[in-house]
Amino acid sequence: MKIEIQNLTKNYGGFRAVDHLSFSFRSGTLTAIVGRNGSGKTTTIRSLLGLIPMDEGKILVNGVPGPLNLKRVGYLAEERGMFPKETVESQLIFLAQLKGMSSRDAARSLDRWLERFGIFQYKKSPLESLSKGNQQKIQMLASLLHDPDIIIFDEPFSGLDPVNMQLVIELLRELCAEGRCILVSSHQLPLIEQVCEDICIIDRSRCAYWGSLKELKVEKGGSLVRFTVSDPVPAALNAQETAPGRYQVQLGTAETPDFSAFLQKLLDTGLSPDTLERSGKSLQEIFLELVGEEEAIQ
Amino acid sequence: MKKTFSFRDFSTVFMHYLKKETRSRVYLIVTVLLCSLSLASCFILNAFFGEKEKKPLYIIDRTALFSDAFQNAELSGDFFEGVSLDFTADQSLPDEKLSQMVRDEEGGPFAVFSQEADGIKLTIIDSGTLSSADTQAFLTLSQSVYLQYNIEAAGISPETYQNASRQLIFEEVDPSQQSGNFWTAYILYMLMVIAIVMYSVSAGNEVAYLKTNKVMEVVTTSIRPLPFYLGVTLSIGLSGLIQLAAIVLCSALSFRLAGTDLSVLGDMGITLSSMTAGQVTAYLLLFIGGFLLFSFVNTAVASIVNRTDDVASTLVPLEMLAMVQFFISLFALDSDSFFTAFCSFLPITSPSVMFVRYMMGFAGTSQLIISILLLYASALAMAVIGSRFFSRGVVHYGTIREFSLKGREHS
Repeated sequence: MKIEIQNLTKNYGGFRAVDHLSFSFRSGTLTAIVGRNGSGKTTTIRSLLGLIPMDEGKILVNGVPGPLNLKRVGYLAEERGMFPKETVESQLIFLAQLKGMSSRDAARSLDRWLERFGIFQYKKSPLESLSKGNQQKIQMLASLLHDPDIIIFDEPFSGLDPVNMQLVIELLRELCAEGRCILVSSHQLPLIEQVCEDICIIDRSRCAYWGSLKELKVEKGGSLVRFTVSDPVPAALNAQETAPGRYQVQLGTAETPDFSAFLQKLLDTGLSPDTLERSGKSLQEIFLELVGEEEAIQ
Repeated sequence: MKKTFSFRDFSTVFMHYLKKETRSRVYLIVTVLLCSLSLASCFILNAFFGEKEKKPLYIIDRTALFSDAFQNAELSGDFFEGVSLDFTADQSLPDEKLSQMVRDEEGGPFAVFSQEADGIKLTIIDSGTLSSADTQAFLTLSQSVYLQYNIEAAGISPETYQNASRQLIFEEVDPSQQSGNFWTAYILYMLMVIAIVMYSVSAGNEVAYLKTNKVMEVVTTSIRPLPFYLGVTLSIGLSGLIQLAAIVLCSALSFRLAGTDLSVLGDMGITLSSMTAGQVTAYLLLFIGGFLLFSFVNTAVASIVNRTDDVASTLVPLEMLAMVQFFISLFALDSDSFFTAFCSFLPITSPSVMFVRYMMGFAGTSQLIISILLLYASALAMAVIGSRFFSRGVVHYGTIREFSLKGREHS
């Protein structure tokens, strides 16, 4: 399955929230949509789901224009919301029924997912009696209970502790491996980098990059050598003080054509590095560069 | 999902909310409380209107004119409110002794007939136990007996006197007004207005709850707004009707169990059993139509409320609007006018105003039908507009002033 968004444009009065945005996501590939606050991510998702009308553009499902079949979509909204007074079981079965499931199938699926999330003991508890993290899990579970083909998660990591973030990462990988069509929106770029293959970077309502994350890193990530030292560093190295009395030096590929030669040179300076790392730029760094470039253009 | 309305989605929402509403603790407590009150109401009515034990009013007749006449008179059971005539007192007791007994609460009250130089004197010896109505009734009865005696003493036959003292028979008839329905109409329209306000606000509150809990975005990405909107509104309406029916049943059961004399209500002009099938149908149709209209208005407005703080300030003006018909119906009970006639067609006031006008005979069947059609057409239009508000309101998290149906909502 492939979902394509073509030339999506959405205006709020005189403000253009999304400007001719095009990207796609498909089964078996995890796609991320990232951007700064107010860049238009949530508007894009809401337009895709038909919650708000588009001013321009179209949605193609497997190449055919038309809206998504919402019964087959699992959606985790950015604005989290459930029924706090109702029991976990009652509200999840209701939400699954709204997606077209029979109550019996919903009950069976509920048991399986509660076990999977390790919260089976809260089945009969009112939602408000659960911890915030467990409430987040219930919310996520509500979007998965009906076994959707298309999964759209808006900020799935928000409010989760590191253990639960890891749980969600593993879940996303698992769902992707099962051939689901997944779109994730998030600010948590280090986490996105771990799980996504395709990425759409939105800046100021427009697409700054759309394509493979791997290619983006090859194109924009370069090759870096980073080392940290506790002693003051010669000014020519442009060291950054990352913590009191701790300096990081970052050198691009151009300065280090030969890694062995670089190491020798470093030892010759008399500096004793605490850490040494050879890598490309992180997604966060590429994102900041891209967004910075866009900002400079504007 | 291309269809605007799916009956399956509607029934899922309807059944879920009906179960949720009727199983909620607040609903159960309120229903049990109201049912208990209605069960108790018959005992309260019995206490007020039931047969009370009457105190004796001892007759001391020193003239030998009144005792026989009183005993021969066929007085109805409710001729006196709180006393019955008693002729067993010792007739020889002097006034001083009778006064002493009343003072010491050893007997009494006493009605003493004594011969004076210029006629017969009636003295009531009592320390406040006789009601003024009973005193007046006893005086009237005694006057009548005394008059009868005087007529006979004067040689005039009772028939001659009766013919000579005949009075006009007076009656005021207004053929347009069914005054017998006054209290029935009053009670029923009051019940209607209260139920419409109460249950339509419940529907509004439910949607406001969904909105403030931000669950609507999840729900409306599963089903279309209209079946959800109708499901919530109608289930809350039905739960209200179930509550009302339970209360009415409890009342009926308690009246039967306690054997309360319902003729008391009849004497007050409340004659529910005398309502025609047409009047009952009109009442139900106007009630349901009114509930639907106000529920759709409430839920539409509640769906653009973002914060819990705004719920009351948004819904209270709507309650006031629903209460307007209460006051207009009061005017309609008294007399018909262009204003009340106009309001009986205006959907926001028509449910109770038209019902009152119909009950009082101010409006005919054709007017009733037009009013009901207008009411249901408005409710339907409001359902469509309301669902539009509802679907737009789903992703509106700004202030109400910022809300627009054109979709200028917050991103």
